[in-house]
Amino acid sequence: MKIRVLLAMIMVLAVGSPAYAQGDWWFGFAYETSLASGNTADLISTLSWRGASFGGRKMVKENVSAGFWTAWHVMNESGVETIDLEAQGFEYSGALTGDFFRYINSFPIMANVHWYSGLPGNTRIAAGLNAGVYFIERRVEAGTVAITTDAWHFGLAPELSVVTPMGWRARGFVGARYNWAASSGGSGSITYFNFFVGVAWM
Amino acid sequence: MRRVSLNGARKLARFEVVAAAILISLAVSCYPGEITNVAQTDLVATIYSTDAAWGSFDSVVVLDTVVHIVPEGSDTVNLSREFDQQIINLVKQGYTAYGYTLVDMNDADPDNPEQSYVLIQVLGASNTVWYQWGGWWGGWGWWGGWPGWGPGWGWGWPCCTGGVGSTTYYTGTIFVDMLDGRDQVDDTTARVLWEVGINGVLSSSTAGTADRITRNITQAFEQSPYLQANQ
Repeated sequence: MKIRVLLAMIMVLAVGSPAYAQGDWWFGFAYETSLASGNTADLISTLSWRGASFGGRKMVKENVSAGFWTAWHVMNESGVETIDLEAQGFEYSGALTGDFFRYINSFPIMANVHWYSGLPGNTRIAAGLNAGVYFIERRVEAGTVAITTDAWHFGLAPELSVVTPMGWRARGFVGARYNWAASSGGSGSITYFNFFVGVAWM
Repeated sequence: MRRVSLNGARKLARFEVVAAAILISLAVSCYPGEITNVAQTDLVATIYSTDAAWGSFDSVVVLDTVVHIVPEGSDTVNLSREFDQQIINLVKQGYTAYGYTLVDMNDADPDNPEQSYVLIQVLGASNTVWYQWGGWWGGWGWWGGWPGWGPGWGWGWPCCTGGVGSTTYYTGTIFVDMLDGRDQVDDTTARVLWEVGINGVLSSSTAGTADRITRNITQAFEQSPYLQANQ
């Protein structure tokens, strides 16, 4: 009997824990890129390569998890621009030319729910919805002057990813996410996509 | 069936730490790609009067001296005059390209409605002032020689202040003011038609200063197509 129990324990360890078994907590890091969309793309239109995230998910059912997610997304673009002063809200007519450096730093802090296709232990598709807040800082530098504004925004971030077993109690994942940070006070809404790749472990 | 070992677990833990370190290092800077050379700090601002009869001016008197201005209460900074002639020539070229006839200062005709006047100044001090674009130049009168320059400013640095509030001029900022000689309150106050501010470009004299002056003055004219004469 003891031998059977021991064998069973070894089997469980050897296979890894039953992936996504109910009650399991998974934690993961991801590298994330960002691409602004909508009006946000008028400020920064190129793919930005700087970003990272950390999250945790608890399997509440065999194919459903609940958890949290936080990240740091940096979007930036620079170049020589000529802006129309009147169009920018100045009370006089004219233009301003210089090297403009635009930055958006976004820090989402969210709760999430994910649904997984297929069976635990296999490669699965995960569809999820994040809901929470974004702390977003916008900064424009021109010449030796910088304007920085920041605000908290309510936001949602639906995402789709593929999760696959990767070694002992580890999973790799790759996916895409759409971020929508609602208007907040005088700060307009911010929208952008993430493309991410990461690893999670239990 | 996968084989599990303590060594494997340690490797995985190590992998996670390395992965986390890489991710963190990728994201350490909030402001990647910031300014790397002084030329990237250059700003060219142009403001013009929407009431002016643009297109009716066809000659211009470009004063042949670059004035160094120092606001009251500021310490004078000795700026080089190495680039004065280059600046004057570039301003003249800009007007010529727009179809203006250059008129010598001694031949200026104050009653000619098609003639305007251009003075070039460089800020010889750093100072913080209130923006006060009023459309009038109150510095000095060009008819009576060089009486000096008083406290009057027509121009403020418009960048990034929302049009009101405190704003900073930097040492070495070049100002180009185009004035309407007929539309004056008195001998020292005339309507400003067009103003250029090139931020701090003369604050230092380096190998690239001459190129920056050329690029920025050329840009000032390029972004002001309403200057075109005889439209």
